[in-house]
Amino acid sequence: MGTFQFDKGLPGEISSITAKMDDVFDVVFEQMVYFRQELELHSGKAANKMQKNMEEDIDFFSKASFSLMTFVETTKRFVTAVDEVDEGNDGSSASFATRAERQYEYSPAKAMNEIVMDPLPLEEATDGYASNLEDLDEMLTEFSEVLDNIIDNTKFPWAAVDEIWPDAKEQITFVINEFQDRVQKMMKESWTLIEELERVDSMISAQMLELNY
Amino acid sequence: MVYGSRDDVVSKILDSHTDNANSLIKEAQSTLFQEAVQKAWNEIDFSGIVNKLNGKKISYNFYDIQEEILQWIKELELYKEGKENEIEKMDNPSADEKLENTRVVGDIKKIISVYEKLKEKAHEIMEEYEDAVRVYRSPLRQALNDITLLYNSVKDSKGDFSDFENVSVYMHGIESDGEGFLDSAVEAAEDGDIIVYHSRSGEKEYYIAYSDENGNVSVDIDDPLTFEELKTKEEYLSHKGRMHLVYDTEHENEHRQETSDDLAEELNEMGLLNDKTEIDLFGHSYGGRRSFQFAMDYPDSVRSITTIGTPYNTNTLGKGANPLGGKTRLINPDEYSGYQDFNTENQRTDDGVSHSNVYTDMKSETMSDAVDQIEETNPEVYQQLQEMDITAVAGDDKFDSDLVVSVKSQHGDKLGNIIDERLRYDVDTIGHLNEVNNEEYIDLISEVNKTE
Repeated sequence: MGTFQFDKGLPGEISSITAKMDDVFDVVFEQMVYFRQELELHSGKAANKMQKNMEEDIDFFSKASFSLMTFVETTKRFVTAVDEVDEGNDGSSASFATRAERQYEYSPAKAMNEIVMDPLPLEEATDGYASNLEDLDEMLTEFSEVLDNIIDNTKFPWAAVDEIWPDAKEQITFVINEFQDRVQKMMKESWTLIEELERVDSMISAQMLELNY
Repeated sequence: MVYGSRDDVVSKILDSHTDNANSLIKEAQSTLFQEAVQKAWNEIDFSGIVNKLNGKKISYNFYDIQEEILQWIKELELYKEGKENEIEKMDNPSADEKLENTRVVGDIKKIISVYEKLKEKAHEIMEEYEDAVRVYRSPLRQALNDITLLYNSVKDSKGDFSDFENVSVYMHGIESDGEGFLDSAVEAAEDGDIIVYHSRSGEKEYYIAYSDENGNVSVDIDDPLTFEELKTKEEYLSHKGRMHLVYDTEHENEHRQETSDDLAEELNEMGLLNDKTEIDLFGHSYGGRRSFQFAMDYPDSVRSITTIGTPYNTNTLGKGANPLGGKTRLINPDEYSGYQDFNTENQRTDDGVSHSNVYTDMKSETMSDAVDQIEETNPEVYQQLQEMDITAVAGDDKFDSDLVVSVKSQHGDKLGNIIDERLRYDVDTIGHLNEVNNEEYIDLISEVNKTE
């Protein structure tokens, strides 16, 4: 208790990775939510399994992003505040996104609203999906390094955090590894998914043409 | 300023202290601390303190610094004592010898006084850092709670009470504890229910409700079980009954956010924040606000909220109590729990420390302010609040109040249709204090507890 310990470079590292993560994640997440919706038009065991997996991944990605991003943003603010005081400046905080706000930021419902407002053609959604996943995988590697820096080098001055910090470190490592494993699995399965989506899309288009005749 | 040359031994001691001080500075990498040490060294007219901080890591531990400075002081005290004894033991010391001795002892006293000031300054630095970051304690705890929740979900980790699907949580109000609600929970319990009393000390007591051959349910409140004993009981092993958690907050007057963070950690550990368990919250007085906060933070887990005597609006007690510094006989408006709200209106300062508690909350924010903010920032949670069963009971002593809170405030009119049902129960003249044991309220608790 009463110990302040951290790497001074953290705020810069965190700002850099979170900006990049947000950009890539937003795109991938929206694609995932869109594909989940599209898969509802499909039937069959394979499609059902894909939809179930997608559902689980969306849920996990939403919760993992929200909690990890809140964690790193809070840490960044914490470090910056101490630094500011140390430099003789006012360390008091500018407004900070609440938990509820941040939770909604990473919510599937919000992503769905955005798709409804600005519908994606399937081709646009599938285009670049695989390479976006690769970008996300790379970002997660960088993000994981930042998390390691926080875990290895940071002590917070509160007893309430001290008590849970040893377990928390293990859990953070688990969650980020799980995140990356899922992205890598999705990368491997991305072509199968796209083929399935395009197959049904073509089928529906053909049926629509027949109806018009 | 040291007149004449400094005593050799004192100089040697200061040399070693300078090395130690530089180690502390190098470890801390704190500009404020380096400046404080430099100032101290200037005052004792000694040089050698590093003036550049090159390290990448800040590691400021006031207690280590304090211990080191105390060592320095001890060393000097010892030498000073030796010098004082030396002159006493001399037969007829000369005037010069006495003068020299006085000079050396005076120098040591001055150095010690500077060291004492340095120690205080090091403490002030710690307080400055703490003040700057206090607001982030809660968001950090929330993030770590969320990570734990996700971890438990993926790993399918279980806590001691994971398989209980129906849980009631009882939340007391200000200047209070859960004892009143323990009586209510006991009265409302059904055969096979388990009651857990989580007391302020963090200890837990366990009880089981049993019915006799006539169907009368009772709980032996004088003979709580330990967890080891509870684990052997069929009622625990079968998980069929309801689990009642009567919860004492760690600090009587902690802000609702602090309670929500603590409760989330506790329920997480017990294995009760999961996809299966549904929680019914009961709150008395400010406990209703605490329940609401928890429901806003963890809406997936909450099925209902039933409050009585809750000040949903801002409150005269909150407004009136806040200017009171220090404890009065009846209330503790300055109680500190470590929580500070981002809203500066929802803060007070005691002994230079800015923080938030029940009194700042009741003075500055209505619950409708909080719910409006949720509607704006997270429409999903707002919708979940609308779908929750929320009942606001007003204790009425026939003067549209329960002595402490108006019926209007207890009904939370400004919350509109977020509150599904507004009830009114007659209470006596000191109604607010006894509401939690009001017979009609206990019947209501029993009714809600039948929900599965």
